[in-house]
This record gives sequence, structure tokens and C-alpha cells, in this order.
Amino acid sequence: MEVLVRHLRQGPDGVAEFQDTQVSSAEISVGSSADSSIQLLGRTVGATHALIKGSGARITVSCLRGFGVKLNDKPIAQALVKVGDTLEIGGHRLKFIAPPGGFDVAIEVQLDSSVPDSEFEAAFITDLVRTGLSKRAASWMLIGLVSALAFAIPMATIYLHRSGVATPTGVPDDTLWTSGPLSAAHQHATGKKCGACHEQLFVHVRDSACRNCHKSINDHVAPDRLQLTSLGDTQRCAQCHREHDDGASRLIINDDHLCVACHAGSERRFGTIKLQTVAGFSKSGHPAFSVQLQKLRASGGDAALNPDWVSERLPLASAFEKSNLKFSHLQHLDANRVTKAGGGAMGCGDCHSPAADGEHFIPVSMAKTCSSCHELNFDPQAPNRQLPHGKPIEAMMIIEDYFTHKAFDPPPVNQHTALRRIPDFARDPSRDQELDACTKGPKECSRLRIDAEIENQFARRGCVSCHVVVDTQAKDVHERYQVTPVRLGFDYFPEVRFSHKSHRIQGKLTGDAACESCHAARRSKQSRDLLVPDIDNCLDCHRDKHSRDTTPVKNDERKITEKIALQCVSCHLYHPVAIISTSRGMEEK
Amino acid sequence: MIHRSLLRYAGVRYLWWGVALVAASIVLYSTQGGLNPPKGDTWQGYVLGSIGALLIVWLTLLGVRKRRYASTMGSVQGWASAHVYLGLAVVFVATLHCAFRFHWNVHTLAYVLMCAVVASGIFGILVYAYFPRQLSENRQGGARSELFAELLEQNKRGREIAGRCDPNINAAVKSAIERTAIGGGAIAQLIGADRSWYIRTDREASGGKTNLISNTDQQPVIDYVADRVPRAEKRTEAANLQSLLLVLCQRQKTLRRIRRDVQLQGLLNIWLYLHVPLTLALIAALIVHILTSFMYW
Repeated sequence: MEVLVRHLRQGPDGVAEFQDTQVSSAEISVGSSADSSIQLLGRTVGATHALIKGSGARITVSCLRGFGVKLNDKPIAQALVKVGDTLEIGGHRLKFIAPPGGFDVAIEVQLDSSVPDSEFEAAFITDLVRTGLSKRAASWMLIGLVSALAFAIPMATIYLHRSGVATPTGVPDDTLWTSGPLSAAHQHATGKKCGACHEQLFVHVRDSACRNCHKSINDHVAPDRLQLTSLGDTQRCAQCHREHDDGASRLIINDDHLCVACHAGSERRFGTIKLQTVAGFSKSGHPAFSVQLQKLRASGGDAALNPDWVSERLPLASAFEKSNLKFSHLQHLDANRVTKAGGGAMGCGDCHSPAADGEHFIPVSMAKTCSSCHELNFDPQAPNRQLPHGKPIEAMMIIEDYFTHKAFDPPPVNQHTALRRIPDFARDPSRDQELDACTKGPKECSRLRIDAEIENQFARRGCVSCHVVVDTQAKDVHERYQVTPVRLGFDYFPEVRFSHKSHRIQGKLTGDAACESCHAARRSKQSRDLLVPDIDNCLDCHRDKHSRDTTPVKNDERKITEKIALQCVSCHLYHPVAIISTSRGMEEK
Repeated sequence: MIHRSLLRYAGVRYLWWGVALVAASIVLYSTQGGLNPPKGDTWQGYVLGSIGALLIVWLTLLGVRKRRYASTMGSVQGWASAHVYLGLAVVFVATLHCAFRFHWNVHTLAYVLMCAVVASGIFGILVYAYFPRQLSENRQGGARSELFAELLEQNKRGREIAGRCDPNINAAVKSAIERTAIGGGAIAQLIGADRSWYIRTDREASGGKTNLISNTDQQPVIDYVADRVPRAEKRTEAANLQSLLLVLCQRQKTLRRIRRDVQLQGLLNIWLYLHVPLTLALIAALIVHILTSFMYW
């Protein structure tokens, strides 16, 4: 709208004069600020005090909040004005006069002469205190924001979760209170619901919350055994298993102190449970190894033939394997005595294949391991005829059938080239010739030949070369010779972890040299030798974390540069697992 | 200078207190490990956290202490000096307490707020180090009221001379004086904004209409008056315009100094508008941090 503003004032000569200004704007602002359309000064005049707007005959005046405007001497907040009306703001008078042509509104301004010209300085805001900034308001706002978003709303979501309602999208919940990210497995299992483990506020996570899922975990010490000690209650799961840990401990605190704190004082603290003291992994801090072997529960009678095996723990230094197998590692590794089919000396891997777990080995068996060299033929003239392995009575019957048939229907002489059976150390060729030259009747000759061959197999050569055979002196030949079952150790340290896989290369040693740096196979003449190294061998390359001596043994052929630190849990398990078997019978007898 | 004596109070006594506190915290932190990997919930973590929380509460109490003029608990200057050095130390204590673990959670919120409080405090120290001298130089040793007195005198003379000039000049100069803006909102004060106006009533330039024209730094009105000098028809008129120009230029200079004064004073105080609310937000976050740590422990 077009507004004529006419300022009336006293001229220097005392004659009243006026000054017209024209304002073209949608609304007229009245106040003390520099950009007001009509600027009025005075302590009671606001920066923007009132607004005049409208068009044609409909002109309104509105007073801004906190200020006072009088229309025709009556206070108003908002009012319609017409020609002839007078507004009073801070002592100044604004009279609406008839607008000349081209103007919508004409206002005659009569300033209050008692207001000094310098009053406009009062409108200056030159201090932050007088601006909209407020420390108090900002403080309360921030306190409210923090309390609501970080505490009150997340707190409310706990009760939502408990009533089975998920957190609405975008609403902050109690995951804001986490002290660090959960491990991936727990995050997946709990669905990021804190209450899955933190069942009660202000109460430590209970073991029962862990066992809700981890049902099969075993206690380190069974409760009845724990009562025998002075150790007190079992520790909380969370004592060792730290969650929200940023991956720092990978959920398990595996410091040696955890074990040594109790095991270093085993004599004092374990009560009637007798365990050796362990203070670390060193010659003085760790006991020598003991192995778990199988022994017969009872001896004598037919115990050897129908054995009842029990586990027995023995110091490694005085332990011997009782496998009922005759075997010499020394002989098999000697190239002058045993060579492979393609030539060359045998190596460890020719018989021992690592299992998938990297720790154990696939059990050695006749079929898989020995039969490539050791055939079970029994008549040099019929090298393709083999005895069945692991079935002694069946083998005797085959011998009986074969030689009876041969006596009554002899094959042409020298039809086959005689093959040498391995081992062949007990065979007496002259005796074979003598039996072949038998002049008695076929029945007698075959009987002689059968008895001789059975004796040969079970008492002189053949089966007895590798197996322990008991001669019961029974009259029935089928009952006379009993082959004792073979039982090879599968795991001498069932509670211990050891990775053969990570020891395949040891310093400068690889292949069989790496195996032999621990297993003295070339010195072993009997199968009773365990070939398991004791702690000294481990200490050549390893130490515990607290040992400062990192210098490896001098002149060691492995030539490692520094001893590698081991922790208790590198080899030992805290939670005992169900032991599958410490020894497995040969799959094939 | 207040800041110097504050930082060097009692031979930097509290600097050494702060250094000792940080050193002790580092020693305590380094005893963690093994069974207790560094974290806020080891016993060392609890000790560091308690020290940090108590320090924050004590640092906040400076706001209370400085209002209690009758208090005999040490001088305010001593408190402020300790506030500065221990306030810096608390960052180290808190960092060791949380063992450098930061995540999207309420605990890190408290840490971030604490850092923001300390950062605003450092800003406060810096402005107190540099701005008082500039403030003093700008005021030329006087007070702000002297600058305003100078301005009022110049306004008075301006109005007086303008009254002797033709109505257009009179209206322009009078409106320029009355529509001079100083300060205003917080931002306007801090950036030294000038939203001054003046009114031109001569019809030749304004297309027949009255114009409200921006008068930033008073230069437009000076140019307007200067433009009229060569066109003065009488000698007295030219002399008046010359005198008016002189006054307007002096006034421009005074206004520049006043605006700079307002700006420097604003910058000198603005950090407190961050420091105080952030401190109280920190106290709230600290309470939430402690409470939730024990609710889910």
C-alpha cells in the first residue's frame, strides 16, 4: 500500500512545518529500530512496536506483544482504524488523516518533544546479555535433551521389550547404554536385546543367562569336587568371558594368571584333590608330562584275549605302550633294510596321515598302511593266495582247504615263480622241501603240511611276526593259537590341545626332519617306545608370557630366532570336554 | 592482565597439580592388563572414573564459588587457576578411564560433551589472552561510555549543522543519525554487522518516492552529502556541507570503533554461553553414564 507519512515539527524560526515522506510497502512498521518505516524514539518504544497493514478502508493496527498502544486514548492490542483516529505510542501521536490522491493511508506524526534526540541509543543492544542468548535456557534445554534421549526414552523401551514390543523405528533404546559392541555371535543370538542377558537392572549378568544357550558347557571343577577344596564358589562366567569388549579379549580373558592363581597353590588350596603345582610354562614351573595309556583292568586268565581296558596316567619318562604289536621304527626307516616299492627309504608320511583336525593322525591299519608291503600269502608256489587279516580261525581254515586240495590235486610244478614274503626271517626252505617230498598218502601228507603251515603262521613267521600270539596248547588247532588284539594309542594327552599342523615347519626344519626333531623314531626298536617328547623339548622353542628369557637353545638345529610365548590355554582347556576315547582299537584287526 | 596472573598463579602451582594427576593416572592405567584388560570397569577404571567425576563436579563448583564473594575457601583467582589446569587434566583422566574405547553410546556422549566443555574453556583462555589488548587499543585506554559520549556529541553537531542545510540533506542526515544501528542480535554483535539506514527525500534520484536506503558504514550518506558540495549555490551552504561532511566522517570513525568494541566484548563473552550450558549437559550425561553403567553391569 502507498502511505504518506507527514512529520510535523517546529521550524528553527518557531513556525510549524512538516515534512512528507512516502512509503510503499505491504505493511508499515512502527518502532525504534533503524529500519522501521516510522521511527519513534523513547525508552518505552520497542524495536518493532506496532504494525499497520491493510488496504482501502480496512486498515488495522496491531501492537506487538509486550508493548502498549492507545487508540483514541484506549489501550488496544489490535484494532481497525479510520481517518481521524489517533494512535499514541510512547508519548508520540500518530493521526490518520484523509489520504491525498494516490495514497491508501496518510499518517501525521507528531513527535513527543520531551523525548530527547539521543534516546535512540537506548535501543542499541550492545551486550550479549540483552540478546536472545540465555545460558540458563540453553542449559535446561540441553539437560532435557540428554535426560530424555539418553535415559528416559531408552528406559521406557526396556518395558516395551519386556512386554514383547520392538523398539519403534528411530526411537533411541537401551542399546545406547552399551559399553561396546557385542561379539557377532551374541549379537545374532540376542537380537540386540540387552534384556536377554541383563535380566535385572543393577544386577550382574547371571550365569543362568549364559546357560540358557550354553547348555552343554562343563564346569572346570565339578561341584562335588569343588567342595573338597578351599576354593569357594565357582567364578561367574563373566569373570573370564568379557562381553562388549571391543574384540580386545575376543570374549575370553586368557591370561595365565587366571589358572596359576589357583594351580600355583594346589597343595594348599585343593584340599584332598592331589594335583601337581603349576606356576607357569618353564622347567621349574610346570611338571613333566604324563601320558594317558590304556591298561588291562585284570591280568591272567583270558584277560589278554578278552581285554577290559582302563585308562591309566603315567609319567612320560616311565611310560610304555602296550599295543600288542611288534614294530621297529628304526628298521622301517633304515633304507638298507626297508625300501618303498618305488625305491628309497620310507618316511613318516608313508604310514602316518594327519587327521582333519590338524592335531591327531588317522589310525594306522593293516589294510591302509601295512598291506602295500606286507602281503599275507603263505605258499611260495601260490603267491596270489592270501590269508584274511584279523580272522585267525578263517585263516587256518583256508590253510586247511588249500593244502588238502593241493595234496589231492597237485598243481604243475614250478607253475608260479616263488615270491618272497616280507618278513621272511623264520622260514626254513629245507623244511618246505621235506614236506613237499612227502611220500605218504595224500591225506597224511596234507595233514602234515597243514599243521606245519599253521605253526609256521602263528608260532614262527607270518602273523606272529607282528602280533603277540598266545599258544594255549589246546588240542583243537583252531583253539590253540590266539592272536592278542592290537590297541594303538590314539591320543596320549586327551585333555590337551596340540597342533601338529602348526609344527610341520619348525625354524629351518621341514618335512620328516621337523617330525624327528620331537619324535626320536630313528632310535626306537620296539613298539613299546612312546616317542612322545617331554616338556624339555617344548621349552627349546617355547616359554611362558612372563618369562623374559627369549633366547632359544644354542646349537639347536631348528635355529629359531626367539622363543615363542605360550599361554596355559594354548594347550589346556578350561572347560573339560567329554573325552571321546584316549585309545582306539585298530579299525581292522 | 587477568589471564596471565590466572595462568601463573602461585608459580604455576596448579599446572604441577595437573601434571601430577595425569602422571598418577598413567601409572594407574598401566597396571591394568592380563585378567583385567584396560577398561572402565576394572578397579583402576573405577578409580580413574571416580577421580574424573569428582573433578568435573568440583570444576563445575567454580561457577558457585565465584558468586560467593564472602567465601573464605581460597581466592577466586586460585580457584580459576586450578580450574584451568585441572580442567585440562580431566581430559587425560577420562580418556584413560575409558581406555580409548569410543562407541555410539551414552558413555561416549559424556566424553564428547566433556571435550566440548574443555574446548570451549580453551577458547575462553585464548580470547582472554588476545582480546583484552585489542579491546584496550580500540578504546584507546578509555571506556565504552566515552565512545558513546563522543558519538552523542557528533550526533548533536551533525543535527545542528544539518538543520542549517536544505530539507533533503537535513532529512537524510537526521534519519542517518536516528537509523544508525549498533549491535543487535548475538550474531550481529559478533560479526560487527551494520544494518544502518537513511532516508532520501529528494525526488530526482528516487523516482519521485521516499527511499529507505541502506547506510552500511555510513558511507552512503557521506557520499550523498559529498555529492551535494559541488552543487552548493551559496558559499554558506558549501561551508555547512563541508562542516557536515567532517562531522559525518568523524562519526563514521567513532561508529567503527564502537562496533569493534561490541564485537570484541561479544567474542570475549560468547564462550561462556557454550561453556556453561555444555557443562550442565555434561553433568546430566555423567549421571546417565554412571547410572546406566550400574544398571547394566
